[in-house]
Amino acid sequence: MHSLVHSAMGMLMAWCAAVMTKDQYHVLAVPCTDSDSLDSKVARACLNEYHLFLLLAGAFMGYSYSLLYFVNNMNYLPFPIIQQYKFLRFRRALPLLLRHSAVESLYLVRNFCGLYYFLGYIPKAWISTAMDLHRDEKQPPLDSLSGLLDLSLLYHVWLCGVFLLVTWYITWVLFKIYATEAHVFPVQPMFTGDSEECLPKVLNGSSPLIIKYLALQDLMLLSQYSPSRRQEVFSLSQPGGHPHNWVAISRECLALLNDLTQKLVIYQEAAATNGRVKPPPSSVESKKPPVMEEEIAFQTPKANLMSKALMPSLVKASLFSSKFTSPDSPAPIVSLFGDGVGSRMAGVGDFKSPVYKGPLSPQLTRRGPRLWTSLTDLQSDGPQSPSSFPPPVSCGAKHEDRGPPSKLYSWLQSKQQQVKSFLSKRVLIVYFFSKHPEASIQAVFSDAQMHIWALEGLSHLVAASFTEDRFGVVQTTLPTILSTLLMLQEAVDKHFKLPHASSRPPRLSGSLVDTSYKTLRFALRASLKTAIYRITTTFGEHLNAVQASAEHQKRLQQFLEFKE
Amino acid sequence: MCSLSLFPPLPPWGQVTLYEYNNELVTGDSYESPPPDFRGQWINLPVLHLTKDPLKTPGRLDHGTKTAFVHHRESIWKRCINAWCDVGVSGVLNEVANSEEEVFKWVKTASSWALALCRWGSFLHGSLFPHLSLRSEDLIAEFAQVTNCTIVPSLKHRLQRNVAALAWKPLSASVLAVACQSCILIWTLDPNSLSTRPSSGCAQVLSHPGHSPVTSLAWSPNGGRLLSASPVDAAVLVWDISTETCVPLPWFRGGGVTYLLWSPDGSKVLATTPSAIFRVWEAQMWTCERWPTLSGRCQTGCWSPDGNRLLFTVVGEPLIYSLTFPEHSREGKGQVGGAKTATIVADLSETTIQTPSGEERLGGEAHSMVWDPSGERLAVLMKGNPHVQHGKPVILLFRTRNSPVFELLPCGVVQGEPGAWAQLIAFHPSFNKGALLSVCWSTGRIAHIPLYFVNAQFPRFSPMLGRTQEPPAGGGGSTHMPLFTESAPISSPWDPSSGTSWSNSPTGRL
Repeated sequence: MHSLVHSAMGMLMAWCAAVMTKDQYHVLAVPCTDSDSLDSKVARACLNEYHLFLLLAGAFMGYSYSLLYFVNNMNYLPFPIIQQYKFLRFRRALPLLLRHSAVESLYLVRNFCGLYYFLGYIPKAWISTAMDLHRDEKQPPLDSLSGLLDLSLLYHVWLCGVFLLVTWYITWVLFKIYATEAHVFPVQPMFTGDSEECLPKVLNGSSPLIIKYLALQDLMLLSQYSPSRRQEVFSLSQPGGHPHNWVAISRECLALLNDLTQKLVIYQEAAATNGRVKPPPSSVESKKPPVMEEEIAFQTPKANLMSKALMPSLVKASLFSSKFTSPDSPAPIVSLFGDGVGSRMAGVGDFKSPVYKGPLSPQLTRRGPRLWTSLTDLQSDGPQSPSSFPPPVSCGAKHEDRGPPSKLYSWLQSKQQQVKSFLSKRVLIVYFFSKHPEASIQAVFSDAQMHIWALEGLSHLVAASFTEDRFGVVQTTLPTILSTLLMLQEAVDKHFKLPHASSRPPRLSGSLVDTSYKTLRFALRASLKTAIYRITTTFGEHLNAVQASAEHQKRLQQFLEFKE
Repeated sequence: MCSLSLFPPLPPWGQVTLYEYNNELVTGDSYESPPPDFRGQWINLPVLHLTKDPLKTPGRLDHGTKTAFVHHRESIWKRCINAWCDVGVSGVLNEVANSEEEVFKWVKTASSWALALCRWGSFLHGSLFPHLSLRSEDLIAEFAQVTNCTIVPSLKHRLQRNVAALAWKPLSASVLAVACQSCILIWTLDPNSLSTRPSSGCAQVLSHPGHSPVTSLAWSPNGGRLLSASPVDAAVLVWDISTETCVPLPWFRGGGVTYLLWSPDGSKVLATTPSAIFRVWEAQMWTCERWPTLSGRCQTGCWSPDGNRLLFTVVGEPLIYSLTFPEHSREGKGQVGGAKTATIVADLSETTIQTPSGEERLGGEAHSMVWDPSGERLAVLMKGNPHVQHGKPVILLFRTRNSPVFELLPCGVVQGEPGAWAQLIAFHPSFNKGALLSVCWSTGRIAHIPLYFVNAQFPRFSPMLGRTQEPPAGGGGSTHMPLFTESAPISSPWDPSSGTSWSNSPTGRL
């Protein structure tokens, strides 16, 4: 779709360019210049091959742009490593952008010439027969070597390509700059009405992913640079005296980090058993229900850790599911999921254990059929509340309509297994269809930027609380924070012992495309270590008074002695 | 502002400065024999003594193996390719112009013309920015903060040539950044590992086109970002080490950047240039303000612990200037907002001071300055001056106070073993009994000089010897007159007459 639209746009642009240049390119049909046509006095229309060439080049460039867009993961939104004003960022990107598009246009023209040389006769014949145009005998055909070496034509095509690419890249750069601009969320609502926009609410709620990113970025910035807003975080609520802001913020960050720990543990288990791992699901719609269940399953053991009832974990569930939707297909589905599952969870108290066991195995093996069987298991386990089973889990429900697996179904399944095992023996096919290990590792850490910001924000807040927290609100959660960080540290350490995990992909310097998503795991490891060091160096010997398990005490001691 | 004539007399020849106690610098015969009454308090400092041998012959020389082979003349094109890889276009032109009868005559003529044009262009460029015409070794020697640099071969890497700066990452125990000729190397060294020579696989290479030689590095105090600067490149690079991305902070005037210094609170960065300008970047939105200096470039600088005051010196002037910045740069508005003019806080010009053994001369230009993390001691390493101590660089020690008003008092002169030159000075980042000055002497000894005083940051320290309330013995009355104070001495609550022993009892202020 993306490439089709881009090809069409490219063609349109090339047509505009062709019309604008006037002289020999501007229409598709020109009167023939043949001598015999002059004789016959019949105004025969001939195909203007230059015009066709330009149009096709535009289409080709649009298609290649869209292809490169996806190959280079240009839909990944890298947040800048330092804050700068928008104009400065744009000005910095501009020369790079111009150079990049000029060079790329050159390559594309070369490729297109090659393509046209070999395949150019197809569209030419097609157009000329469809529109009843004749070949101009006098002019050399463009799909010959001599025809292609027309410098003026090539120059025009190149210029058109540069223009096209510059326009698109500027759009892309401007979008990136505006989308990643730091936004300031108020910590406390100024009036009661606009409490939806304040930081704890945004972090808690099921807001779109981009808003969560911005909120976490803002949390990181405020924890570093703004003492007055830190003071708001540490403040108590006016009637009642509860540290609602700090509790909400810290709970959110800890939930994020715990989630990452769980993901890493599962990944390691899978790697230990399977050898090769499929990534956790991306935003594929059909895979969402099991993921949802799983998240809830992970939230539930944590619920007692946070000494909270089921409700917050359900809120979290809806929040986690929002992570798997792309930013532009936001909340409604997600909230529906959250609510539906939530009502079911609330209805059946002891539902946790089957949920916990059920979807874990599909996560490990990630085979299609077993995914559905596990769901039917679920359904048969919990028939008490069939009415409250949510309609949004439609893809699961469709399969469940069939009831217990029939003979046909099992036969199909066995056939499928056979085909799969047959295919998996062919090395080449496995090579093409299995995930690259590097890619699966990258997928685990795909949204590590959020975790990095959560780490930085949390550790800066804790470090600042040493001098700024007048009511001691941070001290109550300090043991939880420390244990969460240390557990994550353990999981990350283990993860980096896996094969492929600790090798760095090569770096391309000075290119327009950002490849920082490939190395996010290193950034996470570094910032995790820095976060722990920040807390230990600030608190120093006082950390010995913090309750922690013996193992964690030992680990902390190592950090205190700078031996990590 | 006062001159150096208020300094206490130099210690007698042959004595080395051991520590500061009760406002006095105590000297001894050698570093190994502290006075007996001090043994109980002696902190366990690591003794480092690098032997000179590995310093003098760093492994093998760069061209060491070249002599072992018979000289073989390669064909012209091969040499051109090599020259292209090493030096670039001018190398190729040079190679072609110098070749004999291997290329056509017109090619040779054309390339020599082009080379002349090239040289003329670079000469023009060099006359605008004179530092660019230096060789890279000279560049490093000119702008480095070390008096006489040598290379210790314990970490080896193919690209690690002409090391100009080292920086350990804060809030980490294992990451070391090394500024090299062509790149920045990031070593990740496991502190628990026993191997003394880590392999070059531990190193991560960061390079950026046009950014060499790298002469200055600065980690942000919270450990997140690394700044690097080169006297050739006008832009300062901000690196995110783990994702290996960099953002250039562009500046189109002023040639290059020679020295970077991050303020201890992480809010500002000092960037000095080879021209008579220095800039201060604000580290949140990365905007900068520039200060032109009157004569010459900024030689060195140091930040107060709260990041609100910058002391700097200028090449060619024996003065220390101070520049103040407002308390908090208003909530992310991206402004530096420093004072309009710098004030002179100390005059280091040459003076004679009376010693028991005769007159001694003291003073000159400062080479580097360090301020201890509590903000109470300032050490200044002077440039070698033929009139002072036979050209040896001298370390001057000042007492400072930063709040409520800035004060600068003389403390003394740090002396090393006879014949040893001070090369590099640094303060320990967190020494809770005062301040710990480490001096790297040219003999290879790294001496730690503890300066004991009650530190406002760590007020728990109580000296064991029980003589703290005693006013310091001797030292001369003239030492207690402040070299510089911002307020008039009469109106100041800490005027010199009542503040004679302020460093002994600052706990009362807390």
